[in-house]
Amino acid sequence: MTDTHVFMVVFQIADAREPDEYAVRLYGDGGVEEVMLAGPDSAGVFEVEFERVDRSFPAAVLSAVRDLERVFPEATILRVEPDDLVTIAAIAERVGRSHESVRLLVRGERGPGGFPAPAGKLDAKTQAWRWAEVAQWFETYIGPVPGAEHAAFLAAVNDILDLRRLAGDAIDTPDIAQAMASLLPEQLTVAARAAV
Amino acid sequence: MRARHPNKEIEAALRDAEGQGFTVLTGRAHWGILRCPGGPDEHCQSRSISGTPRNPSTHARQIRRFVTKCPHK
Repeated sequence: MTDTHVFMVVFQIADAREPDEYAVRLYGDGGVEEVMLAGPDSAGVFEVEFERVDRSFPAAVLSAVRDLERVFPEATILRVEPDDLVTIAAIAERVGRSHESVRLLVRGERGPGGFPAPAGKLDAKTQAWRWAEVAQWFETYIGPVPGAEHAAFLAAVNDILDLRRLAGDAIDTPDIAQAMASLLPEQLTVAARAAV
Repeated sequence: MRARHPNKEIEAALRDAEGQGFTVLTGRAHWGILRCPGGPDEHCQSRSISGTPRNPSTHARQIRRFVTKCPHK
């Protein structure tokens, strides 16, 4: 069974300022189908919107990341969206409720209480939550959330992309590398061994 | 008058976008760029429009989705 999956992959090519060269590579021969390129912004960050037919959402996302790495080997893949960190406004949009209704749920002034703790703040006034935790809370106490079944997968993929980006700075000795690798979930270490 | 997009469906999506304040810049190697109506401080990332997408309907739908989601119009 196949479905159409819509998502966005964000990547950075630090010295990119105009889209033309990258659009030609993405849309031309040897490029990628069913995509639209957005950006770059002043930091060389692009977004590519995918509308991809595949057997599952994870399969679609992982093949999309591989395709982008093939077309833009110089790029750093930053994350896949819908992203894991959400504000009250983003939560309201994703669950189809008003801003005020979500605010009351968060504060426990409506609903069952026990809303997940925020992951941090984006600025002085704006708190952010992990979508994977928020979606699970909604599914448990309020009802089904469209697209929420992918929240845990997206959070895991984005954490791996972060890890790839930071590993060079964070891991400086083989001891540390080994100790950190022992923290990886067993499914990944087994799969990584099989891939060698 | 800007150059028309060779695909009718995409051209229609671009015209609707222009009707809502978006700007189409043409004459690029890949065809053109669609810019949201936001100002220099706050705007969506501009979309690169392909002149020859393999699936024009998808490209047109992506343009319409971009216009719908843009908070600056």
